[in-house]
Amino acid sequence: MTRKAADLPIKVLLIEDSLDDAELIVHELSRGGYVPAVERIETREEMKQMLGSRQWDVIISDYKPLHLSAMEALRFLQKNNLDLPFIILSSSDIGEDMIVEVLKAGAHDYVLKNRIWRLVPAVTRELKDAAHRKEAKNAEAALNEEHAHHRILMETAAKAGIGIAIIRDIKEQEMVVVYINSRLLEMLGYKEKHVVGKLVLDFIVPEHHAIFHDYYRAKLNGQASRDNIEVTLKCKDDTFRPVAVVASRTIYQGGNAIVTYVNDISELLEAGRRERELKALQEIDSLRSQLIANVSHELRTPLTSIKGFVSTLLRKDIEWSEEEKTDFLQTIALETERLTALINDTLDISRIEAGTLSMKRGYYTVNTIIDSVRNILFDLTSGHLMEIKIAKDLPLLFVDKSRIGQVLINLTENAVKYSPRGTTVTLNAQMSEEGRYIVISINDQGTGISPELQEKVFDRFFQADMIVSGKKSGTGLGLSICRGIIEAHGGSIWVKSKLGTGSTFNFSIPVTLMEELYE
Amino acid sequence: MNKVLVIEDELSIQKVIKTNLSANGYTVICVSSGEEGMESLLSDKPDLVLLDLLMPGISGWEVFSKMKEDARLSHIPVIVITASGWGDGLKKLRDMGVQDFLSKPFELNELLQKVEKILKEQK
Repeated sequence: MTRKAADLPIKVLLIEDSLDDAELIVHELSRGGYVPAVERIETREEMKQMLGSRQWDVIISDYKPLHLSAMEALRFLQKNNLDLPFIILSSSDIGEDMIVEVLKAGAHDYVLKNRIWRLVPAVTRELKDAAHRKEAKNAEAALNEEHAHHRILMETAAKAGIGIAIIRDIKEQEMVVVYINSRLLEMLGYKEKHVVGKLVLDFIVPEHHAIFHDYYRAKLNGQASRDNIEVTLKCKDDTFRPVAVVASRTIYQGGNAIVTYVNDISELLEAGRRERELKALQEIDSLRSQLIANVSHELRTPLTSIKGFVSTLLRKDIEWSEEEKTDFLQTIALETERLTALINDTLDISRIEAGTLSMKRGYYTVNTIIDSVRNILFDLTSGHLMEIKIAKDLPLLFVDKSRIGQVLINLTENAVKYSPRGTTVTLNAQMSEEGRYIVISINDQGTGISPELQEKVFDRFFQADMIVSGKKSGTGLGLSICRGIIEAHGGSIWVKSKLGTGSTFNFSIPVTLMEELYE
Repeated sequence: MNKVLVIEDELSIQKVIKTNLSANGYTVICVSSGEEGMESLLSDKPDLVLLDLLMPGISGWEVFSKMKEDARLSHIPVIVITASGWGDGLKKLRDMGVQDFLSKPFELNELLQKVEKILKEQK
């Protein structure tokens, strides 16, 4: 049953040469609940004018009026791209062929005059259909507009240097590229057909697969994640490009997808690398100036004594006793030693820095190495108690014996310098737990070193005495030389210390395997 | 007899100064720190101070400032001994009233002549 329209205004264009028929139509529409505003036309010119000047809801046409046939009217509408409900109202003598013909030409319905009661339901239905058609058309237009909008966004981004790709899971496959803009294609060096439909991971270096996958999943599932990630793109011709990626969840072609904004950061990284290199060079330069300043400062002290006592001995106005002369000469000898040590330190550190520290390596037992400096160590610790503990059956070491001896002397000197007289200095040599290194340590019962200073003791020019006593002694190079020597042997050096209980300086030297020995 | 106070933490340099100044007839008192120097200044009342700048504890700079602030000490002439070159700091000291400088390694004659000259001017 057709719902009866209730006082609906309707604008009707009638193509009808019979006034009676026109009246019949108006009457019928009014009866059906419409309030028709009707314009009756007879010619093509009138039709043109009416369609051009006013909006219409429906066209009702006689099949064959005198001046303008229904067929002709339909062709005109089609030509002008007008979609209006078109209903043929014809006499009962119209043949079936004709009906088929007008429906093919675009008429929506036909009503026979002797069944005029069908007009209102036909009009009502056609109005509804026309409304649906209009809606669908509007939706399509909107979609087209959206597509255009989307394309403009993507290409504007491309012009701004931002690569964009849309990625989504398709069927069984994860992370498939479904859209890519021209900038990202340019970065990759590929054509669109080589990328769209492919797995995104094909274009990312393997070591960054996990980070990209996790980021993608987190974004897709709306979980908390980093704002952006940095990955390296695998581009055409096996070249690589570091990029920053920012992703957001979106809907694409009806499914959840991830839109990724890709920024080329190779220049940024390059600039950063250059800056770091420059900084490193500047640091070396400043270290070198510092070395020169420190060394020349430190050399002046022994030089002043030597020069002073030589001049003293040469004074003609004073007759020195033999005892005095010997005393002066002994001071000169002592200060000359000090000067020599300073110069050796300086040479060592500059060789370590240049990587040209000469080493005469041979196979020695730990005992042999320690014995070579044993007397010096006991002399140094004459005011302390010196204990030497060497584990049994230690393997041979392939080392420069005098260099390792130099390290032992330096560490012992430090131990003595920073611990009270009468306390014990212990030298301990044993295997490391995993058996690949021999670890030699020198322990004192002194003031200890704070954690902050522990980090600095091996730095060039770091002088603990400046902090402990406010007074410099030596060049501040001793421990950096030790580190250089140990590292040149493939070992490492470190300190363990607790304020108030003392410090232990340890160094490790890799052991020589017997098979290596017989090679 | 003129009394010279040597404030210098390097024992070998103390020794070379003391040996030579003593031989020239001065009374020489040697101390190794700024703190000891301040004590000796007040108790020994020296006629001249030879002052090293870089020392543990109170530095030579501080000793000099304290001397200038103290009415009992401000008149005592000071020769500064330094191991660094001639920088802005030394210009400042000269403006502040340091009599003279000895730069390590100094000539023995330079030491003897400067000490003699300043003590002569004092009389």
